[in-house]
Amino acid sequence: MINTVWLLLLISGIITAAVTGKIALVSEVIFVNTSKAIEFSIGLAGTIAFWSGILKVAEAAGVTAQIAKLFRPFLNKLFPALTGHTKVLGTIALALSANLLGLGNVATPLGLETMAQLQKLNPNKDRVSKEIATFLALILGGLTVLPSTLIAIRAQAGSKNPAIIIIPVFLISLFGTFVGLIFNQLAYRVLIWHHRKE
Amino acid sequence: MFGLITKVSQWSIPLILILILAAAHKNKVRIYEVFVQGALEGLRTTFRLTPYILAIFVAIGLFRSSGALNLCINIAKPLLDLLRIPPDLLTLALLKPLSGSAALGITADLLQKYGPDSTMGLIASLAQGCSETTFYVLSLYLGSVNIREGRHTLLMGLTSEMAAFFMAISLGSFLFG
Repeated sequence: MINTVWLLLLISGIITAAVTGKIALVSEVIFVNTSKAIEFSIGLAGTIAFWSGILKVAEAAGVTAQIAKLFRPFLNKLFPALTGHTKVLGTIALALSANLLGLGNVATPLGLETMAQLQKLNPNKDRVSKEIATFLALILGGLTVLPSTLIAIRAQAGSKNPAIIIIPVFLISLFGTFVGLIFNQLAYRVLIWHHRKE
Repeated sequence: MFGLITKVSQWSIPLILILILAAAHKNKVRIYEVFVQGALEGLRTTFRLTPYILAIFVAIGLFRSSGALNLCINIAKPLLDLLRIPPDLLTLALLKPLSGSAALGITADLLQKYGPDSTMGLIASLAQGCSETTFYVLSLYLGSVNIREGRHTLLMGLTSEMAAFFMAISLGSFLFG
C-alpha cells in the first residue's frame, strides 16, 4: 500500500506541475527536499543516539522493568502474548508515556527501540505481527495528555487561554486510539479468515 | 494554568534524566559505557532510516509545491460544503498524516487568520492536537526493522485519524461554537 501512495504522490505532483506549466519546478523541488531530508536525518541522529544511550542506562538500572510493572494491568490486556516479557513491556510503557507527555524527541527513539524488540519476537520478519500492529495502533492514535507544541503556538498567536484545548484533545485522541484498536481487532478477524481460505 | 503547563513541560525531561541516572547510580550501572553502547545502536538505526526520510520528503514536497494538494482540495470542496467542513481544515487533515511540520505551519496560519480563541481556531487546534503523522511514523517504524508487509496498519492509522478529525469538528463546534 505504501508503494501505491508514494507512486501517487510523485506522479500526481509531476503531472500537475507539467499541466500548470511549472515543469522546471520538479527538479528544483527534488533538490531542495533531498537536502532538507539529509539535514533532518542528521538532526534526528543526534537525538536518537542520545536517547537510545539513556534508554540503555535505564534498562540496565531496572527502570524500564519498574515502569512495566506500573502499566501491567493495561498492557496485559492489549498484549496478552507478551506476558512475562518484562523488558519489551517496559519499553512499550516508556514509549507510550513519552507520547502521552508530548515529548516528541524522546518518543521517536523509544518507539524505534520498541519496534526492534517486538521484531525479535516476530515469527515472520517481513510482516507486521499482531503485537506490532497493536503497538502501532496505540502510537498512531496519538494519545496526548500534554500537547506542549500546540499550546506553545496557541500562546504565540495571542490566545487568552492557550491550554483550554487540553481536555478535549485528550478525549478526542482517546476516541481516535479506540477506533484504531477496534479496527485492528476487526482486521485480524478478516486476515485470519482470509488465511484459512487459502 | 498555562504557567503550570509550561513548567511541567520544561521540567519533565530533566526530571526523567535525574530519575534514570539516580537509579543507575544506585544499582551500580557503568553509566558511561552503557550509554555509549546504546548511542552507537541509535546511530545505526538513524542511518538505516535516512532513505525512508528522503523518500517521504521528496514525495510530499512535490505533491505540495506542484499544486496537486490544492487541486485535491478544490475537487473535494463541493462535498465539504455539503458536510459543512471548512476547506482550510481539509488542508490540515490531508497534510497532517504526511508531514507534521507542514501541518503545524498550517495550524499556525489558521490561528493567525481566524484568531486562536475563535471557533475555527479552536477546532483547528483540536484537529492538530489529536492526530499523528501516520505516513511518516509508519515508514519510519516499519523501515527501522525492515518490515515490508504493513498489512492493515496504514488503513488502521488513517481510519483512526479520520475518526479523530470528525470528532474534533463535532466536539469543537459543540464546546466552542
